[in-house]
Amino acid sequence: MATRDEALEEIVHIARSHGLTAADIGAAFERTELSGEKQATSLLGRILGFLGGIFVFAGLGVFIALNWDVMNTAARIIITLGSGIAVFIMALVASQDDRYAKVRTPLYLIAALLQPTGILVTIDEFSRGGDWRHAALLTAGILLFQQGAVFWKMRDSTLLFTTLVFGLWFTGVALDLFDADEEFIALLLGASTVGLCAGLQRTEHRGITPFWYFVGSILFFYGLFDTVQHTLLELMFLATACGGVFLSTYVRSRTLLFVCTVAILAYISYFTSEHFLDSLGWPLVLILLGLLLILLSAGAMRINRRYMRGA
Amino acid sequence: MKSFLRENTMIVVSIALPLLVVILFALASILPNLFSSPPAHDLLLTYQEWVVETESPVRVNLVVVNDRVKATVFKVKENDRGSVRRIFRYDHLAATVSEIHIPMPENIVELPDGAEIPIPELTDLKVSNLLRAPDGYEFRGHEGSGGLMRELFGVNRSRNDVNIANDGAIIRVRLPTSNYWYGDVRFLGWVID
Repeated sequence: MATRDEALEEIVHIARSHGLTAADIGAAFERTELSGEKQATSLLGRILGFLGGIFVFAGLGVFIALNWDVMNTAARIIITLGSGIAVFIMALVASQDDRYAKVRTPLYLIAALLQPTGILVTIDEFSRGGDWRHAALLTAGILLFQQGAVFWKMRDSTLLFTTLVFGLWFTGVALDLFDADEEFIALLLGASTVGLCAGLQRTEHRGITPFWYFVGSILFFYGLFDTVQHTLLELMFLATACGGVFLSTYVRSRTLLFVCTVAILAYISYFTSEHFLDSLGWPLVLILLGLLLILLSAGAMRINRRYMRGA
Repeated sequence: MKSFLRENTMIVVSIALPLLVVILFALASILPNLFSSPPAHDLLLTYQEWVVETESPVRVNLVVVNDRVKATVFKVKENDRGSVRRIFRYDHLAATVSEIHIPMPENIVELPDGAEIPIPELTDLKVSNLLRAPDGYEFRGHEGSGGLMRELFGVNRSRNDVNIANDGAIIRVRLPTSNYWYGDVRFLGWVID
């Protein structure tokens, strides 16, 4: 029952945030029922679009791999950066025409792979040594600007996805250049990614959040564990993971819930092996603690239903 | 026609742009070969083939000293990993590769470590061990790059191919051992006289 109520609550929230009326939703329901066949065709088109993208990328990749040694500088740049820019322009043109909406995402993704490869190849061909991080920073910076600017204009979720990729890459390398600790970089990038996802949850771009919740939370917990391990604050990891479970219910993310659950289990396993390897009492304490939490959760749900829902 | 192009910009772009990339790529690959002179010197390469158990009682070292190839022998020790040294010559006129036989004297076991053995096909050759030949061609060997694509698509078997390059013109030199994934190809020198 609670799940149904939650779903209705979410539908109402989305409808309000997009200015939709009950009539609009009713009409959309009717359209959906009528266009079942159209939806199947649309799905097939999407699948074929992605398969086509994979084959194009594989073909290009095999060609590059087979002939890399006998390509000169110009040929190497043209085949990587040139192809990347060409695919990106094709994606931009496809964005202007609804008939090609299905190929937009595969094209943007292929371009996002080929363009940085091409820039790195160009730098590699013309550089005479130096710090690889400068090349990475320049590449990530250029792509961050390009993808961010086009996203600002097009509002396409795929572009937001690639902007995030290059944004994280840029920030990570920049912090590394300032000699920041690896754990601190992971912690910062992970926390900001999860925060950003929470912000995106109520927007039209929420489709990309599961992947980024996954990446962000793993980064965060990796950074946090390495920071607090063997310190007085070590138990803070467990508390944070429990807080993550709370956050996952608030933002309604199964991915975040999954990672936080794994983090809790992993920490308990680690803690047991460190301190209670031969103890019979510790597993019993864990079971009792678990039962207590389940009882508390049942109590909290009752309180929620009885006292808070009507408020 | 104009209205068709305007209404089908995506199709036009999807055909024109890849075509443009292909044309530019072809020009970048072909033009340097048209405008640079072909190689003017033969190339000598050594190939070390790793074997489970070598039948030879000696291992051969090859170096260029005073513009001549010097072959010296050392006795194989018990713990030595088995290997066979071979020499290949790239003929720049025929663009073919042939193997140069290393003859072993009958008294090979009696020779002391570091003894020089003659290789008749190399005796009269003047050899430069500089990577760049007098004609401008440079030995590039087998590049390890193209890394991600190579690893992703598993195209790693032709590790014994080498390249020579001059101003963007690149010539692949395929050895008879090109299809082996093992072995080690090294530059020995350019035949300059």
